[in-house]
Amino acid sequence: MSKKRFLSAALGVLLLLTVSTPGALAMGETSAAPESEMSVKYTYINQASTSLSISAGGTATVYGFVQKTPAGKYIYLSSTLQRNSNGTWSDVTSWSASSTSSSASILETYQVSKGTYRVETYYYVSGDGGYESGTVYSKTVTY
Amino acid sequence: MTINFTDDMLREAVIKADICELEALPADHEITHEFSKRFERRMKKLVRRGKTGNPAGGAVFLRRRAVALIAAIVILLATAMSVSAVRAAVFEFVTEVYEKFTHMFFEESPPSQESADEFIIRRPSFIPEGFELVDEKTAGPVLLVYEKGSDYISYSQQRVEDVSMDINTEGAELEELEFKGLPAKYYSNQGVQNLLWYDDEYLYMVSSTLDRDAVFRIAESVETAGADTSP
Repeated sequence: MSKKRFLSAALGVLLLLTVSTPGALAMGETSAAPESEMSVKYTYINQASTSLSISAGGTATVYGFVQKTPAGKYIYLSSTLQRNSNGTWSDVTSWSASSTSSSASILETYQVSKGTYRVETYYYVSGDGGYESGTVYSKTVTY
Repeated sequence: MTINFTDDMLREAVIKADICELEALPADHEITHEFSKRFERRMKKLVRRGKTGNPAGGAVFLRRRAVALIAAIVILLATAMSVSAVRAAVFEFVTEVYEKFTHMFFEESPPSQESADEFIIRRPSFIPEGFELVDEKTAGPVLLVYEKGSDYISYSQQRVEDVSMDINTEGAELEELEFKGLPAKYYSNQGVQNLLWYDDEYLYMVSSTLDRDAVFRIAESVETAGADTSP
């Protein structure tokens, strides 16, 4: 009898988790707070973004953008188109831009063959007290 | 004195003893005892098992199978109906909050590889006086950057499925609000005011060193392609 009760309770808990967990996740935004080794504040970078889209004809459109805060002085960014081969990403081609104005951007096209691609955009902004940098990746696109 | 009993004599004696014992028992109508319900249930169960020859009991076995099947269906339906991704292909706005920045993107479910719809360019019709357009990109994502001395205004429009953005929210409060009836976020950090909002297709963002009112006024003026963009 106790075995049956245990199985019933286990089934009940499973049902409860099955119903509640995906619902909670689907309610809206999710957030995560990974550990970071550094605690230096970002004072020079306001935003950085990148994107990749590939048309039906195989034309890849690569976009990269970085914007500084008023404290930032010099901006550099590079956007690299990467191709996935057997789980390893390799560089296909790359573009870069630099600026001393409020932002720097890249918008380029490139003809690609069948495969899975992404864009890696590295951004760097320097100021009077040093520099800040980071990397942002586009969504993975399969053509 | 020695008495010799044969096997037949003993068998006959046992039968007679049994008959006497049975005759001494009361008839069914003379018995007033009532068995407990639990006892009755267990006896019925025992009789059923005896009739089917299956130790698990045929009806019980079938009933268990039915219960397992119903449980499986309930789990499947519960899972399916509680995940929006199964109900419809929608974009979910996702923010990953790191120590120094917030990474934003839209998660599509189920994922598609390309957007067939034409990109409809929307741009602000109001830019404060004195600002000059210093960067303009419209072949793909839309990016407009205006500058006036050390002040700047940027406007961007991207397909939601293409968005992958790091924004500096460290120490800033990300304000959730509704703008033009759409979900929006506003934050101010390091001297830059930022407003982003999104519909089913695009994410729009205005960033500026100007104040909050100016940012909202610029965002309010975002109209369809062909609008006048001169300051």
